[in-house]
Amino acid sequence: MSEPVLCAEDVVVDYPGHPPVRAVDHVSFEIHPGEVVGLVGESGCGKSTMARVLTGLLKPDGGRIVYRGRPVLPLGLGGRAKDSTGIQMVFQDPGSSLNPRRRIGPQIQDGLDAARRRLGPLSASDGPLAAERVADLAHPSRPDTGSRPTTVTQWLERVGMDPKDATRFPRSFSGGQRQRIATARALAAAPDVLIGDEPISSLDASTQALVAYVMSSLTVAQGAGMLFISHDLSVVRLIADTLLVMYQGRVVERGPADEIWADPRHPYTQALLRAIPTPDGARRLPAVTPPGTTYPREEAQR
Amino acid sequence: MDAARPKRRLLSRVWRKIPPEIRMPVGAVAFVIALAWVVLCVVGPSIVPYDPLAQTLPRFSPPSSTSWFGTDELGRDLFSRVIAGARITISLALLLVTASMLVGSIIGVVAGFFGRWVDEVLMRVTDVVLAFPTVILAMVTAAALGASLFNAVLAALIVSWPPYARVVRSLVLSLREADFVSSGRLLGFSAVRSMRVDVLPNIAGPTLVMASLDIGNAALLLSGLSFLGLGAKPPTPEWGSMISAAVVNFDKWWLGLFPGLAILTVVISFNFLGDALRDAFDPEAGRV
Repeated sequence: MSEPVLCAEDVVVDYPGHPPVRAVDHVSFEIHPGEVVGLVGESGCGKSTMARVLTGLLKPDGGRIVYRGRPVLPLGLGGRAKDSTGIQMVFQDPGSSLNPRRRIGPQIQDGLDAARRRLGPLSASDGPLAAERVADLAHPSRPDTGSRPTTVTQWLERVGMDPKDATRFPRSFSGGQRQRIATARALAAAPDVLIGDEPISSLDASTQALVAYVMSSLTVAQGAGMLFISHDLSVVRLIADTLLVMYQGRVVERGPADEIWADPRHPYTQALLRAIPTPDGARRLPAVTPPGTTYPREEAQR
Repeated sequence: MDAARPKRRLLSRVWRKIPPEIRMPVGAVAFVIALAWVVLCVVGPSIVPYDPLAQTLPRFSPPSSTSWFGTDELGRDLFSRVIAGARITISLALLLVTASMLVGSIIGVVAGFFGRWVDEVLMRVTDVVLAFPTVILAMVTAAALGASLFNAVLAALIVSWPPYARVVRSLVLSLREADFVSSGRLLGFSAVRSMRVDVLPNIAGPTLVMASLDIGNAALLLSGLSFLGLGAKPPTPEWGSMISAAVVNFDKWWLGLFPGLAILTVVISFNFLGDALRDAFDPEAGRV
């Protein structure tokens, strides 16, 4: 298997309090280029905290994040280290993922600018991923089949929006459209890793699949890795190659998505799967887990 | 957020008592009056019937067809003086509000931006200033600086910036956590760029509304200082000092009434205009 592009190594995060809350408890995993990793778990299990740590928005209390062989440093007052703009994120709330006072064109342009700053004038010496992109861009003969868009217009088209929308403000778009714009912005930065922190959770069901599909297909088409965080296993299963199940700050089960779906080993994963409603016409309610049920925090072996 | 909101002023409480369905018409009337005062502030001195400083008319003549507001103890036309006074009071009030907003915003942004001990120090200073009764502190400062219009503005500035600092700081703090600010940082924005592009444009609206609410109060504070002899000096046609001169001739009702009405209409119209603006910008805010 290829070198991982992003590794979490024994990450620990404590939130202050009496006693402190351990939000993330010794979590390690890897994301490889072209791989979609799904991270599922209930609210408060540490998923979003993990996302913020991976991007450097939050400093871990233990362990570290390694991006392309180098540790990710927490964000300070200065700009982010140039090369770490290769980690991008799409946030949960479509109402606040875009600046309401700026037209969306310039906001997507920020992503393109970040790519240009990091990859320079697109020289092949920036590593194999950059080399691939240069090769990609060098083929104008195939403008729309996987090559990376290089303008705001192209990006808007790529996420299924009208290029004329570039001059409009975020308020004139629906939640699903905003999440697609936010995706375009993040992907325009040519990330090696895209982290989606419940990017579809607040969208209605008909839009969820579209946005999830747009995100994962465009990410994978760029050869980037992706971490897709959700509490909804049924959507994650469709796009993820690998699945991580988190419970109370720990990864309790991991493995290929299909295998976990077919044969969950950990009692918590089994409960998650039972809780998914099935539209089979049988009018069965999903299994209800009694409040207060606890599960072992040890990782299940596969 | 709520903790940082300054105490609701009397006139804002009055505004809440106005039935919602006529608030916008009332706001429109307030806008017209405020606009009229601003226009008079610009053109007033050139359209008045008499020179506001000329002592050529009979003394203490009551309002008449030649001298609408009457004349004062030195035979000056009161109507001309009240209109000419608009330029002094309103322009200084605007200057004061602008300066308070700038000083308060800078302090608020710095506190919210750097956080930790910088925030701690700046907010304690703000609290100390807020803890003093506004008018008393302004009086003491103006007295210490010496009586002049400029010093009155300076003294008023010292007591007027803290509410802005508090509100701007809390806005910066809440925006710093906003997702679009984080995503800007992830795209490599420096903290300064993030402030300029993502944070400041989003706090401008609420801050300007707050400033518009403050214009009437600024006019009142400046007139108050002049009334106490700590601002404009005679013969400057300033409303506060005109009322002050009228106190000794209280039987000549027109001397105090007209400058007083001028202050009243300015304070009420700008306050209601500000409230109407806030309702228009943020319809939810009025219902809490």
